[in-house]
Amino acid sequence: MKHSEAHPTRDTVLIGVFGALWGLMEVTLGVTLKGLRIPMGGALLTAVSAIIFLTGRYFVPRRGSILMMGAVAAILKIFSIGTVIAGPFLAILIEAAMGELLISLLGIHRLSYLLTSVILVLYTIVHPFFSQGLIFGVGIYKIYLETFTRFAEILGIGLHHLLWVALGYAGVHVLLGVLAGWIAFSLPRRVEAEHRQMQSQREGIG
Amino acid sequence: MKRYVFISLGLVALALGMSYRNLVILVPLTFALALLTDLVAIRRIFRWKFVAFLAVLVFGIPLFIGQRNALFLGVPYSPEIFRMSVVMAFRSMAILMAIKIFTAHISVEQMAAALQRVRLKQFSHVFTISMHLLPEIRRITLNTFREYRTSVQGWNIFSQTFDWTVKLIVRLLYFAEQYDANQPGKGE
Repeated sequence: MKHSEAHPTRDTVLIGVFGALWGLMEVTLGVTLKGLRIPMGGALLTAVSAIIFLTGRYFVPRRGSILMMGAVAAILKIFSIGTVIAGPFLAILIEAAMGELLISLLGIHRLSYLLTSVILVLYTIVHPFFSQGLIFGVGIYKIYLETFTRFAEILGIGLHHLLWVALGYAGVHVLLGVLAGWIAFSLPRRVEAEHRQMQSQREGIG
Repeated sequence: MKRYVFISLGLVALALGMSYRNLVILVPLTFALALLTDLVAIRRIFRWKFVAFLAVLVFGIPLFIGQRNALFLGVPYSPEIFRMSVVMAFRSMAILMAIKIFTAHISVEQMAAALQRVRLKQFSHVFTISMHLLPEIRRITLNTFREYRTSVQGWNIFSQTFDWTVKLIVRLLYFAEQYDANQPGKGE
């Protein structure tokens, strides 16, 4: 057995810690947001998730770390409640895969953190359609399209007007993503500074 | 465990194979398989919200969209959308039953053991550690949250929340380092 398998390395422990924190947040905050029926709850949850895993990725600059954190969080989520929670499980895995891909391609800097958060928060608009497509089949898209067309007919407006509403909604998501990305980039730096300060204080006492 | 994984996969395969023509064969087969496996778990899926959603999908939607060129009790509806909705309803039931059977019979520990067996060793290692650390992470997070709730004052909530998030991550990092340092073979 290799040494890394017998004893966890610092990176493995940190991935485990951030993955568990992400899962814990998904379970507690996720249930609270759903229970309170807060608008854009999914986007808020994704924004907080992005802050957690991007902070984790800063401390574990290793490819695949976000994916592993996401897998831990997804498994915790699917076994957390008695109800069937296929949508959130899938959402966490997709978020992790997208986050991993973007950060691996772009590297760690403010712009990549902003872009990753914005894309992930925007994805929350598409996700229900995607997961419903998996559960109900592609027929659900035809029903959505026909329903939107009929809805526009009843209101006496064109489909492009509904598109403007959707764009406005997406704009709010972009703002939330920018905020999350900004926090996700600033947080690890402050944490690093405080952690260093704490360590030097401890060494001073020692 | 294997039995439930195969039953869940079987249900997903049946769901994916459903079309309006083969519903008469596949739907009874799906329900027989699911009900014989776990009646209690399956009953939990059929909550009123889900049933109401399916009812609207099958009986409501065809009345409003598509080519309404057929009549039922004098009410025009779209047979094409009706057929599509029926398939979607049964497909969703089959997939949700598969997930329910999977999650009702497989625990997190079994999942970790399975990951180890399929040679996803690195992930299985991370997963085992995170399960081991979870109670302490929960305790640290809850304590920090309690401190945060009692200390937040004034209007600068955003800045205070940020400061407390920094504190939480610092505490978790310290805990992770302590855990890592206390591993056998470390610090020798």
